[in-house]
Amino acid sequence: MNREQIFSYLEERFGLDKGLFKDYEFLEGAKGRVFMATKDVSNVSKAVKAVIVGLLFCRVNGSVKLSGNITQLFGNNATKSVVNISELEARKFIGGEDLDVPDTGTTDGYVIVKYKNYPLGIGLLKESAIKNMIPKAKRTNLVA
Amino acid sequence: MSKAVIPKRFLERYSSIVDDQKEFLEYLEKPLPKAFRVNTIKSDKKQVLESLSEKGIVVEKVPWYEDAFVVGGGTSGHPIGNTIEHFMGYIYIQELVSMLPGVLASGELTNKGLVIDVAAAPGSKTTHLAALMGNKGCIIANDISYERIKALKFNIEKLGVLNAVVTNQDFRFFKLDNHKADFILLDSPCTSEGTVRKEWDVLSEWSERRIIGMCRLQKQLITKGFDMLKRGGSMVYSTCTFAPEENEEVVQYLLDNREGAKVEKIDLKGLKTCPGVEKWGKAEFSGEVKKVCRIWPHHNNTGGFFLAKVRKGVE
Repeated sequence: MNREQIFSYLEERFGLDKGLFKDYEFLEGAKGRVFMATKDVSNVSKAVKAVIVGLLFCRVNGSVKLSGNITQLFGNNATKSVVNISELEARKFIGGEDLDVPDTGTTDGYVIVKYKNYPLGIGLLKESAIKNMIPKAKRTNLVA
Repeated sequence: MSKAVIPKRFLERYSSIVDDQKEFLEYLEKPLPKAFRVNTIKSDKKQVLESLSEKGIVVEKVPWYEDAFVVGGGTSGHPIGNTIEHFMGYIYIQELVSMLPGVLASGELTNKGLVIDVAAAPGSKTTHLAALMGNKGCIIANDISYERIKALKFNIEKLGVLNAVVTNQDFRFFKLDNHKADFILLDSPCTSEGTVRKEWDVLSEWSERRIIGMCRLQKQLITKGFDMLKRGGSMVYSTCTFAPEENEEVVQYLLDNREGAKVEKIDLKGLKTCPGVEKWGKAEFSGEVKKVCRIWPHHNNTGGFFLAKVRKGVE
């Protein structure tokens, strides 16, 4: 899948306009990973022995899985495939649990899970359930 | 919480440069206030503060930095690490003095410059610099330890930093042409004496021998950093330690060995600071070195810190 196809998917699935990403460079990593960085970072990374360049943007493995951190940065721009959840569900989701969501009106596939104005991350919607994809190190038990 | 280990020799050593020995010791044994920085890359400060207030968390402003806050008003025990703001990377828990290099850098940073963070892990200051640059331009975030880079990566990701490239090199031998960087942060490896309020056992293996060894490394790092600066560019050298060998002596070494190096006066309104020491043992430092800045724990209820701002002359 090339870059244009990735942007088309993001537009089609989430309504994320590719103009949001126009000032950045996208670099291919191992195992279908695509990284996003400023153009300056991309240029400098060629002159140094880089270990990490920018942020993981997505992973392409048949489908496109937008990374959780990019979702948090740009998720509020999404107009489609967004599942708004309650406070109780947000606690569960941030803690790492899957969610039962009987009626989302969204087709199966990746969705942006949102509580109030917080795009919490990406989840995989399948048969009225959202599979949690928050990495273990980031999961948090909310207090208050 | 365990009580801080403070060796007697340690207190004796600094008695001549501390203004109030009793207060100094008292504060070294006190836990630190809980502080955080609002991550302006991902969040709107007003909304973050409103949301924390709705949760009953009382936050107090910090007079010398607008994005820094202390959890207070009887809620200092609140685990702010377990809030949605923290999960989202809207706030970053960070000791107040650790924000000072960023505060000093802020006037130097642009959204298209090249910045090098020499000893970047775990990323508190890298992510701060990134925010101050509006997430634009480029930061080379270097650290010698591959193990520590995991924490650096985690924080870069969590705070949404798009303007950093991480490298894993011994900076003394860093491969990049000289005269490239607009700004360099050398928050140097040090004996960390000033962090005893957080790491209560940091002084348990304290020795003057360690100080001497560290000083040698710091001198190599500061000259390498200076060589990599563009003409007109600036560098902040900071440590979280009290030893003049790791502070004033390192700055003096740079001035003695690099012609174009100039120390700039540091002006931090709202924070009590002390100038650099003039004499230490047999060493006497030049008037230029007095322009550096010492932060003692008992003056502002923080950790201990040292800051110097150096500029590379145009000619």
